[in-house]
Amino acid sequence: MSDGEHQQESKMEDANAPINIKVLTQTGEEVFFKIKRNTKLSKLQGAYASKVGKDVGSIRFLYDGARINDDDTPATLEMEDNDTIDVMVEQVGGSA
Amino acid sequence: MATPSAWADFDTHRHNVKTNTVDRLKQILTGFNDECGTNLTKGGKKQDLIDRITRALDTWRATNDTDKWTKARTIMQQVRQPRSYSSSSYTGDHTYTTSAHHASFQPSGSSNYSHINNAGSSSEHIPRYNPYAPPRRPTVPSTTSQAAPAAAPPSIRFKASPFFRVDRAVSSVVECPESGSAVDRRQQTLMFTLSNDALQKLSTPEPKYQLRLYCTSSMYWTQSGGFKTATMPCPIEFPPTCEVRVNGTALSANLKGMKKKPGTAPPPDLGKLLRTTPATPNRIEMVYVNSQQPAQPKKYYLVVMLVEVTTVEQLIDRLKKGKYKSKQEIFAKMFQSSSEDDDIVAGHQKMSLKCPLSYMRIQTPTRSVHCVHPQCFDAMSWFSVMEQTTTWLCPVCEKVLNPEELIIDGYFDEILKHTPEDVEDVIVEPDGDWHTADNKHGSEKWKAAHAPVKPVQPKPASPVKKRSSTPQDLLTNRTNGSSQSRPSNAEIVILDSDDEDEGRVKRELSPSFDGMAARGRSSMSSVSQPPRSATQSSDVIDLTLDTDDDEPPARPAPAPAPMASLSTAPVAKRKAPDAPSPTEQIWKKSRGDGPGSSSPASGASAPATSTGHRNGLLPLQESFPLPRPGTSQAHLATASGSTRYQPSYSPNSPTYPQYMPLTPSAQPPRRLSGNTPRQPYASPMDGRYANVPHMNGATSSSPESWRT
Repeated sequence: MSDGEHQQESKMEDANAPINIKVLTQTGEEVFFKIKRNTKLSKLQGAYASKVGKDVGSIRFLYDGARINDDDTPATLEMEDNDTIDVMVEQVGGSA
Repeated sequence: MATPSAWADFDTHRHNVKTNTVDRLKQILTGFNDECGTNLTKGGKKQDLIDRITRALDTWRATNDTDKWTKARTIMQQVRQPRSYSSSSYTGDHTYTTSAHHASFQPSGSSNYSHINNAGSSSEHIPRYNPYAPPRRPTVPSTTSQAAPAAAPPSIRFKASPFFRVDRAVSSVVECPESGSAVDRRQQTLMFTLSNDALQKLSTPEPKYQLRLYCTSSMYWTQSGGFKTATMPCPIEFPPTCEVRVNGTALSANLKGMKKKPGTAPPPDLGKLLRTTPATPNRIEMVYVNSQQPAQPKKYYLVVMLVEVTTVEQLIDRLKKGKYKSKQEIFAKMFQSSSEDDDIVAGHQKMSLKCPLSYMRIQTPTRSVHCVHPQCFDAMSWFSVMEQTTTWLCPVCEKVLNPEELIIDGYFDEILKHTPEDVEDVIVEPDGDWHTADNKHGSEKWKAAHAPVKPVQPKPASPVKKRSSTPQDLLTNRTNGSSQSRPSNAEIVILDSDDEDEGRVKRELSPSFDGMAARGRSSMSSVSQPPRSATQSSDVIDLTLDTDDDEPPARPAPAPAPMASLSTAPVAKRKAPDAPSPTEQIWKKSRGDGPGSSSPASGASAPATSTGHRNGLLPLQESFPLPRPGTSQAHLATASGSTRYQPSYSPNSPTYPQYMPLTPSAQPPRRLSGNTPRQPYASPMDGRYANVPHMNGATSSSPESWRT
């Protein structure tokens, strides 16, 4: 088991190299993050929200136009270095 | 209280809990917390509130806690009929605390009150009161003028504002009865005379005093003292539809602020409409209906206050004197807040030097001590906005700010001082260093460590890149567009942008483009190959090179030349200038059209060319093995790869609108472009730029086929 784990580990390490992600708002403000490929993006969302002083619930994060879910990681979304995540204002309402 | 009787109506009350509105449920919870020692939260859905209340009741029942139950029952009754139920000791307590609380607002005693007048006048209007309204306590409006002074009416404590310090109330509080609907028109009148003392204050220039009309609703304040009264200062709330007349003249001020958000408008200034001679009664009338849907019957309470005014300039002055935080203090806080987490590290951040409210360069960089973002706003803009719409929101993080907690950010101030007016944003590194994108300006440390040209980061910054990339950008872009609008041509363009990096490095190494050009040419000649092989220098390629040889004869006259300045690619000079004109026309013409429409437009703009064009292109296309979708993909890629140079490009070519944000976000290449905002699809814009380069590309690759 230890052997397998070790292998797994080394493989992970390779795949887990940090990448740079740009978080871009609609008004053009940019914040950069370095994140490991297997770290959940919800962590990035939290870090971003606290950095700009907003509530995570009040903003939404899009990658390639699709909303980022809580358990997505850069690896699952196949992100690459210097990719961009868009931040939008969360809007509620519109339904009766 | 005997136990059995005390619990007699338990079930009824427990059952009736759920018939309360959310607001009442919250009041009940507040009451429980205040009176019964519970610690219940007021958040959640209605059912949660109901559950919380019934659970508390059940607990008391189970423990046979008669005392708490009695109080709870009183609270529930009280909440249901806030106005009619006034005899309990409970209410009495609150009334007491309330008035004690507000006593501070009448420091000079009731002698200043023009109480007699007022009471008299308001009693005239009592007959107009809604006959169906619940019976009122015998409070001010209905008391006789003789009795009134004895029981000084509680004044209302309004939310503090940095602009107005309430000196004292100069009228009594007048209750305006509920209006039942949008057609139920009501009117209330408030009369007062100004004392000599007040008049004298009003006439002094410094400090400046004004009379302002305050109003709040029974949601926040009741004359009998509700749950909220004692604890919370009241926001200003006028009826949703109302008109106020002062001595017969309508008040033009905005009374309502934001819809359904009480407290978002300042109290109106009664200013010039008042009679400021001693012993002359002033008359304020408010006509209102209840236009709110669903109708929510509320009473309103009017009172005129003498306030000391603080202007925006004074507030900024005060801020500058007392709230300047040095760079070091800001830093200390900045680093303290950055928590260490191995998995994720915050990098640099772009910060705008423009105020998010006014979009002008910030003069007085301000934010709250509690704001975690380094971004500031301009004190003048913020106070000016808050003077009109009193939301007190931070324009950056949208939290409600306490004006007392505003600070001037010394760090931001330093950046402002060290950058010229035309710098709009800077990049802030996590260690506190800052610099402009082009590294022309920056903190000392940064400047020491970085030459003006920064090769490390893929930024549009370096001048070398700028020059060389421009023409090519343009062209690639167009090419890309054309691929979409006119698939047949598209294939030509296919440049593999995978090696963008390589291209960049080369460019960096040799500012002049010629070497590249040569390379590009060779690569171009192999157009018929699939895109992969079509070469590395793809983005660089086409434009410049082909230019010479093969311009179609009928091309429209060159547009004035943004490009002419590109000394690096001499070849390009000739060709590049003509590029803009068709494009521009296309731009104008096809704005809003889909990508498909752009190519016809371009044809129209250069009719002579278009035919030759098509002819020339077709053969090319045939020679291309690639399926269309694949191709367009490749195009996208190229275009986006090139976009990263756009920002630098736009300044020297006024003809071209800044289309940088329009770049498609195609696949991998986009990722290379650090600064370009991406979009999930290719925008129609690209189509507009498409044709020209593309033709060029085509020509270069097989000039012969073109001409035929």
